[in-house]
Amino acid sequence: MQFYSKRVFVWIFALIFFFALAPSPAHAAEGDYDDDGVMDGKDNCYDVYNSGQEDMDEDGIGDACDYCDDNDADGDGVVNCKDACMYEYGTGMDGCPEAPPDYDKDGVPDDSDNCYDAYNPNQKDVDADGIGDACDPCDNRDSDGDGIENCYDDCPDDFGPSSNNGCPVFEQDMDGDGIPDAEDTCDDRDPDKDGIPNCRDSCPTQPETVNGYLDGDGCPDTPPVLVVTTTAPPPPLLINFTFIFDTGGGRNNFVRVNLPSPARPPFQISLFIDNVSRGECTNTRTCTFRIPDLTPASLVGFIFVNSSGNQSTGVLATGLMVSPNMFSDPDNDSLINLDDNCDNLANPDQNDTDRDGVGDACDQCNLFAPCGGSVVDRYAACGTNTLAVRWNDAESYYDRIYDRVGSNGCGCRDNDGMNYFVSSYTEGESISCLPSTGYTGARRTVGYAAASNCNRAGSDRCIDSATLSEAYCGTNGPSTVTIRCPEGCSNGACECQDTDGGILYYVRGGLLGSQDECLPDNRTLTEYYCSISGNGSFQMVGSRDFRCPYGCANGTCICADTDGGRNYDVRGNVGFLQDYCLPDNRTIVEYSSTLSGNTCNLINRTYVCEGSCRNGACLPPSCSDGFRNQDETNIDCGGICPRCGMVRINGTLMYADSRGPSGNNLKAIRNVEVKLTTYDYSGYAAQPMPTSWTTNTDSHGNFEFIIPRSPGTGYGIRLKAYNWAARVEKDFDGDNEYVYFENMRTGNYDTLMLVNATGQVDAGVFVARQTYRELYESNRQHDIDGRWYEDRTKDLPNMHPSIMMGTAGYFNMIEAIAMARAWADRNRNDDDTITQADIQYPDSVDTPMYSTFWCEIDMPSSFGGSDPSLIDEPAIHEFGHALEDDISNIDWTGGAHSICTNNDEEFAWNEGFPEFFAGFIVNKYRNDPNYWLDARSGTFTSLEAPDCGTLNSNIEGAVAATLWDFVDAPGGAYEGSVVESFDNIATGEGGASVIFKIFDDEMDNLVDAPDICELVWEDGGWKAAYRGRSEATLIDPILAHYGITQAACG
Amino acid sequence: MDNKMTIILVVAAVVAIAALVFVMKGAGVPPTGQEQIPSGGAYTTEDMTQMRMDANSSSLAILEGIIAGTGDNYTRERAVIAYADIALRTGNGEDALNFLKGVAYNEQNDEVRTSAYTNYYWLKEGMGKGAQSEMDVEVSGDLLTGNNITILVTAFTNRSATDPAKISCGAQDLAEHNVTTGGAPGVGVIVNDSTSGIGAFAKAQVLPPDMVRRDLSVGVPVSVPFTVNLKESGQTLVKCRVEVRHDRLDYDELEEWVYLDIGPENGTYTIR
Repeated sequence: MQFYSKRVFVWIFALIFFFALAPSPAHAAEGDYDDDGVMDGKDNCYDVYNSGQEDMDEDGIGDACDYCDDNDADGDGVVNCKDACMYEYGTGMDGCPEAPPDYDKDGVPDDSDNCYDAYNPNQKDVDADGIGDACDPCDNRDSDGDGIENCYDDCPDDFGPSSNNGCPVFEQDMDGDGIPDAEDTCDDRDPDKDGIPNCRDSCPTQPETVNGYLDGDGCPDTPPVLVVTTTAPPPPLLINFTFIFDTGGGRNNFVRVNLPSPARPPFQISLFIDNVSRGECTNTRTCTFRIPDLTPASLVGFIFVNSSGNQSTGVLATGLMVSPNMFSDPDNDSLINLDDNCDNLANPDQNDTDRDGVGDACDQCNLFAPCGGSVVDRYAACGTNTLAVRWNDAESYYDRIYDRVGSNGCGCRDNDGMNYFVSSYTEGESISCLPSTGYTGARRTVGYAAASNCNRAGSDRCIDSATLSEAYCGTNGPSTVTIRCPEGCSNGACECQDTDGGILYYVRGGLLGSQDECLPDNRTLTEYYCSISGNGSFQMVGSRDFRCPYGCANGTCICADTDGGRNYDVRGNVGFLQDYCLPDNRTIVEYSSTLSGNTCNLINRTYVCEGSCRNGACLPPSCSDGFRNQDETNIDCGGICPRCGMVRINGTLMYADSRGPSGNNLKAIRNVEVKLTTYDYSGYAAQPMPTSWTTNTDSHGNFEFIIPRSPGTGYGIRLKAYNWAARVEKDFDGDNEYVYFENMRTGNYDTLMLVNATGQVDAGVFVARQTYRELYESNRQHDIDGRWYEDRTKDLPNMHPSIMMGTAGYFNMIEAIAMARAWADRNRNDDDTITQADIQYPDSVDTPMYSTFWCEIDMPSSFGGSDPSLIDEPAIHEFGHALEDDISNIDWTGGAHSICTNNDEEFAWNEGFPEFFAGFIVNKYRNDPNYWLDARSGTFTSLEAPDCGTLNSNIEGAVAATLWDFVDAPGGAYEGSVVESFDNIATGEGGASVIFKIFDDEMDNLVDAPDICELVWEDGGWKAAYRGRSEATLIDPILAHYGITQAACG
Repeated sequence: MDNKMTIILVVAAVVAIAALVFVMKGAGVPPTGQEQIPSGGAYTTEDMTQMRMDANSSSLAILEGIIAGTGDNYTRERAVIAYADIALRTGNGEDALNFLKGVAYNEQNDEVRTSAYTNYYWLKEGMGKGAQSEMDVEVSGDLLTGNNITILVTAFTNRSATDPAKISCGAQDLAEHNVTTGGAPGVGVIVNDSTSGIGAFAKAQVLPPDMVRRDLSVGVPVSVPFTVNLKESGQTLVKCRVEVRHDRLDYDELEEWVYLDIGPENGTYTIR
């Protein structure tokens, strides 16, 4: 054992030492590996020929091997090989000067960019206001050419006179349905708002159901009952407005109303100038009204209305739209109610510490009121919304949690905004103080937390099937109002017939005959929705016009992106906004969108295409688009072309399987290893540089190398007759030579492949032809020659390195064996290892043999020398022995056949394997098509019979036995007495094709071989020779198993 | 184990790591810039090419999905080639071997399965994974014509074996050939290929049993003596072989060749 342990260590060390010295994946010799005259130990690049030992950067690595130039040409501390700006001093990691910030990447630094967040490399600024056009909403553009700049034009894309704010004036169309009055047969107007248009309304100025009775004639009828009651009348709502107005700029004159908290949509602000309504603004806290004729003397007023009907007014000049009580001072604190934040208690200080609009004197929900001892925390919570509240919060917590503050200073939230058609509830605020701990810096503090919590106050509910109690936030906090639901009440909401479920601009719906529709400008949507008459007595059709931001079509606003979102490869559009390319033909402006309720969020991206941009879409990068994606010079290596610095070499390997009628029966050389070797093309070298790469062909014989480019080199293909199942060698001198082929003969560099600027080479089809005679005597074109490769050092006499024979035969053998191996692999047991077989060819043995000593198949030179297309058949047979050797549970020595009478449960094998008998049958058939295929005179008499116990001596028996091998799988109809796992190939797809391949494919290359039908049947029945013989009944059911019937054969 | 042996092993390990790094570096293709790999939809063979150019390990998961998927079989087969290539170049060979082994075991399509086999062995070779077993031969006796000598074959494995190891020796004479070239560079014609033989026809013969199967346990060497009868003077060859099977795909085939120069009065041998 001591002895052996040392030997093991020596072995290990020897193996490791071998790998350590291995210069590359390529095989290398010892000594002066690159033959440059410098021994490896002293060679600064031992695997590349560099007799001069040049080392420009003096780092000890020869230039031929040195991938990194350690010099620093610009002295910036980044060596050349890592310096992206080799000749330019730079402070960046890449050796380049750091560029100033350029947010939009338009090449103009932010500090000098007239539009820093939008791509505008040309810095165009047509109005010279210092704001680039890309950012400037007022850039003197007039898209519709109506003389009104876009920024002042209500309809920037539609021609219209200034008298109509730049919008088109249509023909008289009083009802606004897009049909001129002269052509309109129905006046759609409905001044009495009873839902019945004038053209069908017998009483156009009197609502149909003012009394709650609906009969469709448009006239009031007998009043049934009065149903409206309210728990609190709509009170004035105290809201602080601020105004900004400017009267000095002519067309720029405007009035802006800033509506602070606690307003929440829906609400509306109407503006009056000199008692004339000049516009409305909906659900927007900052409303800007452009009033060109505004003067300092103008009387400006407004009215605010929210969903509950609460109103508030404000004036810039007294005397207009102000409720009289706003000017009273009931608490005598010298502040009229309009200015007083606590109407009924005197509080001249107007303190409002929680900034909810209700003075502390009146505020019962002041979060900042005293709360026990020290307060360490303040927070507000309502539903899932919890806020930490600080003194200096810019926005009151009321704004974020509650809809409204009652006169007692407590918040109220109405979760449906007083929508009769939605079932919801209200919540009211209460303040509490809780013991709490906290930290001031690192110091732990103990005190109280003041909390604002909301509690459910009231819920929408149906009092009966037609009456709703709607919870809402009133002046004094949560309250309710009773509403009569014209269409009935269920589940806490009035029933509504609006098919889109409410005011949804991006869903088309409608009710009572009115469908949401787009106006002719294709920008404005008329949205119909459920509404209830002012006194709650009947349902009516509410409508509002909504200007769709990106267009209107088919009764809805447009928000969808037609190319499915961020899709640079397809031109799409969001309404009238269409993806487009910038003038650089490289950058795309891509529109996409997201929809959330009634909000369409537009996303505008700029993206630099990998290839070019054309017609609003990116095109795939190509070799010819002119864009150099990888900073390459002179050529374009982008896209599917090889990357710069890479070479793609592909080709196909084929072999001629037989001469056949045309000699062109080419088959793929599949799954073999291909080696690509670089040669120094700049000058002759006796030995190629040992840089090589390997890959495998696919099932079509295609190969593809993706390797680094080596300038100045040519490429040679080297191919061994070698695959994962078998390899062909010639070993009569004991030097283990493997057959190899290459496209370059020694010393002839004209046959090398060269790589052009694109880095791509299609090497075409390499064909292994038949024999040297075919190559040279018939003057056939050939692509590869055969040669022996000496794999070991030659130190014995009688080496013969250049022998040529049966070129295509090598591949025919390994292909056939690989095919047989594939079948075996699919059907063997999991623990069966199948080893690679060596094929000695040509060998001096007289007949094909299998050597179990070395897992070696010996093929005589007489095979294939004249016709290598036949060589696969004996090769398959001998490989069967290799399989037997690997799979069988009986330790056979070479030459044995484990027929099932030997009770070999793993494997059954006999001389009757199909490829042998196929040839035999064909030969017989060729001589005499009517020959009774009797093989008694032949040598193949040791045949397995279907009953797995009887030896038949006729060829039909052989065929039957062969077929039987494929069908007597366990459980099969012809199950033998012993399970033979290898026979299971019949159960898999392709198993049966073994024999059919022989008959129909292989043999047909030689002669018009018979197929199964021809072999046994003629004229719709058995061939004469078979008639009346028992063998016919034996083979018939086997053929039937494969669906080969007389009827099918015709 | 003495100190000297320990030092040798440490040095050997360092050298081995350096060698592996160097080998991997030499075999690999450096990745180049970033390129978008298509996501979703059907992949094409061009996509495989693109992935190989990028040599990004993130492609491996995509390729595994393609190979294990139900798409076009030729594309799957090409995906196997790309998978092995990228795995080798990105240092993910070990995981890739396991994956390819699963494909080789379970794939039903012949082409895809065969591609898995092919590239499994290709990847294994590219990773420099050598045999997991070892063998050694020793020759004893006088190499004189008519004598019997003994060749002791020792087998050793570092990994468990599924079957008994096959250990064999056989004799084969070295052939003699005369070759003339046919006028074209590198092309020759065999003019004499008549002498050679296996076993009984050689100048030496391994007497039965010339092949045995022995159970092999990890770390436990097994030695088998073979008796060789030296029948005639001259040069001959005895090839000894150990075959150890580890699982369905992995096996070791080890050979040691004993070149015998037999003489009537003295003889020599060389083990290679």
